[in-house]
Amino acid sequence: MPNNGRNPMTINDLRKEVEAWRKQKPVNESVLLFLKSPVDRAGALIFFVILVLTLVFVPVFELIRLVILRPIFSLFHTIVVLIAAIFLRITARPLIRLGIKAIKNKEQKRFSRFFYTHFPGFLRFFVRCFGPSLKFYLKIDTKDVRSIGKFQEWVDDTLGVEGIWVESDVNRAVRRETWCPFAGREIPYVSGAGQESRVSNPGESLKSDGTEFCSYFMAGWLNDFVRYCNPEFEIAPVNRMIPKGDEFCEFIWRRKNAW
Amino acid sequence: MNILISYYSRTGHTAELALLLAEEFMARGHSVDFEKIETVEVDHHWPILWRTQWYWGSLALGILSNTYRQYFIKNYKIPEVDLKPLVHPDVAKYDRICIGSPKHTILPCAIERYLRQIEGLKNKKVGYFATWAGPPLKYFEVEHLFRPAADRLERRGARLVSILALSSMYHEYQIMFIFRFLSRLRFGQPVENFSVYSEYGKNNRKLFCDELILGESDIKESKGWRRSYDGTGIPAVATASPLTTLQFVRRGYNRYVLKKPKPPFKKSDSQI
Ligand SMILES: Cc1cc2nc3c(=O)[nH]c(=O)nc-3n(C[C@H](O)[C@H](O)[C@H](O)COP(=O)(O)O)c2cc1C
Repeated sequence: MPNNGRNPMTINDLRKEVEAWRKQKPVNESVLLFLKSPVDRAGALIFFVILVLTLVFVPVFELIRLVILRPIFSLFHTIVVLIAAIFLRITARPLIRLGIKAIKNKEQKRFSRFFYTHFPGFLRFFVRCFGPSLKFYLKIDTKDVRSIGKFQEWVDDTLGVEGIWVESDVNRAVRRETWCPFAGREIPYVSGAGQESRVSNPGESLKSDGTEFCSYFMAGWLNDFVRYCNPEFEIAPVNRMIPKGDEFCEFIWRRKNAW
Repeated sequence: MNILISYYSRTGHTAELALLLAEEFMARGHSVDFEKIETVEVDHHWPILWRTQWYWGSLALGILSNTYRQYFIKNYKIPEVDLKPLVHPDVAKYDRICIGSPKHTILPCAIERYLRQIEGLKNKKVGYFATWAGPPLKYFEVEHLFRPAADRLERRGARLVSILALSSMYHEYQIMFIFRFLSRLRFGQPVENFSVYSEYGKNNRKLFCDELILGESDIKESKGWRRSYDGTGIPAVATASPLTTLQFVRRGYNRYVLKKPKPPFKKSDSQI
């Protein structure tokens, strides 16, 4: 509904409103008269005490925060993020291989089933360990979904994926991954994608649909991070993917529900 | 031209200014729609101050350090409040958007939410009008209200092309005497001279409408507020705050304790 079920206001409504207001326009009294109601007296007293404390202590806290704490935090979080990046870089390929195998054999093999059910939990654990540091390091503004999306940029930079943002609003951001080092290798093209000629081992690739790795594990992981930063946002289901024959993988970061 | 005037007003002064502007636009032959921004819960005036309490302390530090003030205004997270459903949630069909609010120390919490909530702001030209209690002080008033607004609009892809702020001669905490004093101190004029119905008010209302319709200026550019989204980072702030303060102390010490004369004013080449 365009108007949210409310009547649009016209200039005559506004005129009437202002006319009515002008008749009982609030005026300034002297400070002492203003303090005649007990609520205002209490409010003014409490506020005055707090204001004095604030004016003295907040500058001290801010100086301590900026001069001492922030450099220490920066160093700490940078080291943690570095560790996360090295970990990701080393384990990405083996984990993707394991993941694809698990997706393929989740019905038949016990280990595959175990991996399939518990890998998302491991990814959530990664977010819980490294999330706070990443949030600090990437200077994420949690009200802005594009800013939260810097996480995906960081993952891409770490793993060598290339992509661009085609939309970057505060409520909706769209990232297109245009080149992926895993597509066509660890993550095979699905049959009928029209990309078989690019695949080194077409017989193998046709058997399974590895795109679930990105649409389930990867999107789930990004979702965990979004939920950690701000539960108002989510990743939309991933439909367009390179292994499915599209030109790019499209990740849509958006608001979960209406305002 | 299709213009949307959306305004938020607690005690009615901004609504009055919105009406004056609407009449001005209509007299020039533009069509005007309205959006009255209302919060779900109307607060007593004390809780509003509580919400922005950290701001007040940091204001004190901002007086000592320019760099800190810039850093703070850019990074301060303004709290938000829930709004009633909007009549025009998508503003894409309007040529110009005109947002109005009072000044609540900084951008009001309702406007913070509104600027995040509306859709279709991309490539729009926006004007921002406000009523406040005081005279147009450069740092305390203008920068604290319009810079956050300009930042948020830029983030949504819109451009702030025109600003207007006039004194309503009213402050809910009854501290007009402070603003009267500041007005005398800074401008040597009574604050009445900057009010909505003053000569200054009339001229600036016209100017605001002209600039908005023209839509060519960029307030962030003209005020020198343009900075990259991520800013300079911490080291500059961490060093600048104490250093600027120390400079201040050193200069005072030289002048009043060591009684050194003021360093001579550097002449430019043309004067030599
Ligand atoms: C919480 C709060 C903070 C305010 N802070 C300022 C201020 O920093 N500077 C100023 O000039 N006026 C300040 N005011 C005064 C309002 O801006 C002024 O009264 C305004 O005209 C009210 O507009 P309205 O009637 O549309 O709500 C403040 C008012 C409130 C309630």
